[in-house]
Amino acid sequence: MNCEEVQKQLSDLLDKSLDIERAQEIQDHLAACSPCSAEMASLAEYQQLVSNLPAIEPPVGFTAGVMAKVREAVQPPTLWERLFLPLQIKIPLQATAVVLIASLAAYIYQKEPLQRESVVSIQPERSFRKPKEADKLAPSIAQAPRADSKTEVTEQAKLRVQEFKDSAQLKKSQPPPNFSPEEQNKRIAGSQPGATGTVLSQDQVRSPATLSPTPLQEKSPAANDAASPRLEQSSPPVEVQAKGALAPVPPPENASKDAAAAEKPLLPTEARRRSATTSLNAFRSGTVVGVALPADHELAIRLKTSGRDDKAVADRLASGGAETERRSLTSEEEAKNLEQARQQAIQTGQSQTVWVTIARNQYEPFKKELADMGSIEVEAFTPNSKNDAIAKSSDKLRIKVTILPPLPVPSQPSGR
Amino acid sequence: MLAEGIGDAECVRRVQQGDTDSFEVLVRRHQKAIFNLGYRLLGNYDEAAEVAQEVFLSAFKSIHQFRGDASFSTWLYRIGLNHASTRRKSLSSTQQHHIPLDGTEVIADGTVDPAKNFEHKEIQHRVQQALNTLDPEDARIILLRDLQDVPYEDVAEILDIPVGTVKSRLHRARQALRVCLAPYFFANRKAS
Repeated sequence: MNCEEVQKQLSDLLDKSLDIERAQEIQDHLAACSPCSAEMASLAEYQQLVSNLPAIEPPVGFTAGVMAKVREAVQPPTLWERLFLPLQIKIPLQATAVVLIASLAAYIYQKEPLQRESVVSIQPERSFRKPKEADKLAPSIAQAPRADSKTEVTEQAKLRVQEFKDSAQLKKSQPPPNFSPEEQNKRIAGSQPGATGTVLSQDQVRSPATLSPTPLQEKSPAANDAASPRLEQSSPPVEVQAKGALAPVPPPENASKDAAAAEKPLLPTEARRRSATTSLNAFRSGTVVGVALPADHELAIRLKTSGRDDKAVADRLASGGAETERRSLTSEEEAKNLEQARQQAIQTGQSQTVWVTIARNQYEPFKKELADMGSIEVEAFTPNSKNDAIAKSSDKLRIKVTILPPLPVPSQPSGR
Repeated sequence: MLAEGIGDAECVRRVQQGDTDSFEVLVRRHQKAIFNLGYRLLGNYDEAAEVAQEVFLSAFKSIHQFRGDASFSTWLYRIGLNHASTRRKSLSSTQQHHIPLDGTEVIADGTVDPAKNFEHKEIQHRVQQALNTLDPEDARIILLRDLQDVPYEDVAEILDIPVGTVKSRLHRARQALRVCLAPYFFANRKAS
């Protein structure tokens, strides 16, 4: 065993971790080798320096301090600690939760009024305005700019024509110009019994603006072109009124200026308000015919003023005859109900409600059929049926038809 | 009533079952070893007291993880070394080690000779300085083996290294300590 090997094991000899034979061998070497012996002595001396380091007493009350902290850790956290500690984690989490809940609440709050508005398109606060107020505002239409020639139409009128397809159909069915309002009224009441186009309602007849007999398409070919692509779209008759009112044309030459002034034409918005007021009043005092069921669509029809056209419609509804298309839309019983409701509405002057079930793809033809009876004032999609899986999957469409009585014919102006 | 007579394993079992008072027995039993280990590694009395408190608190919180594979003291030494090493790193990055000669140390041989007393204090001061300048690994193994007299097997368990590695590392650490202290003692011997 050489010195290098011995010196590597001196530490083990010092710790007495060598077996007896090995320890004896090293001891023999140390006895004969003074450098290795000096190394061993030095190592033992420095090891003693460490092991002789005195033990230091911990501070007084160390154990009590530790146990106090231990017992603190054992106690369950308070409500405040559970809710908010650690702050750096809990506060951001809670803030995020608050923001999410607030956003959701705002979203739901905004969505709900939209659903309500889609059911009732007539604003109650407008409809409650008294007709007299509308009459007070009416003279202002007399001051509205009038077109000087047949080819000139205001920009507003062009826009309106572009928006509504029924306006084009309406104008097609209107009489040529240069008729007095009286004559025009007669023509409208008895015109084209079998016409499929929209017929002017009583309200429209009353509106001085619609008294202007010249069709817009004749006046402005450009406007007509713009309107033609939209012919398939439906539009509420009240808007047709507005269109007519916004496109005033020169009065007939044979009509006296006094008579035109005496008409006191209504502003388009006021005219709509009047119509809406009457509609709501009719709804309030109405009668329900048939079983009230949840409907997919709701339609409100303002019946035309009774006359020749009325009779023609009644005949068609009763006989069927050539109107095979109508028979395919509703059942015989429902057709009868419709006719009864129409008669009731005319006789009693109160609204009648009828439920009709038709094939889903027959909705547009059905609307045209109703347009023969009068003008469709309200057309609403019932949001409740959005969640009705059966109704959605079915080919059938349930329609709630409210038949509004015709508006009373205004008294003729005294100046005529 | 504290069960001072029972072993560490039983105390640990009781603490694990919710008997907090039994932990006090363990604290009383091991506080001196843990405190001295921290003090010799850090060279600062207050820091050592703080670290020792942290060690016991940490041991209490994680006592349910103690499965009894090693002795409780071995497990406690491991926690103590981890805490003290972390503190030593943070202290060395901010300031020099504070090595007080403030009279808190007890002279081992109990001599009353002031000259001898002063010499002892001076030696202790130099040794402490050497421990604090040593590589932490070397300091730890010297303290465990030479100061705490922990068996090789337990040192291996605490440091998570094989026993053979403990022996070789201990030999290297002692050589390093001798190199640190040699200039002082060589000059001292020459003077005497």
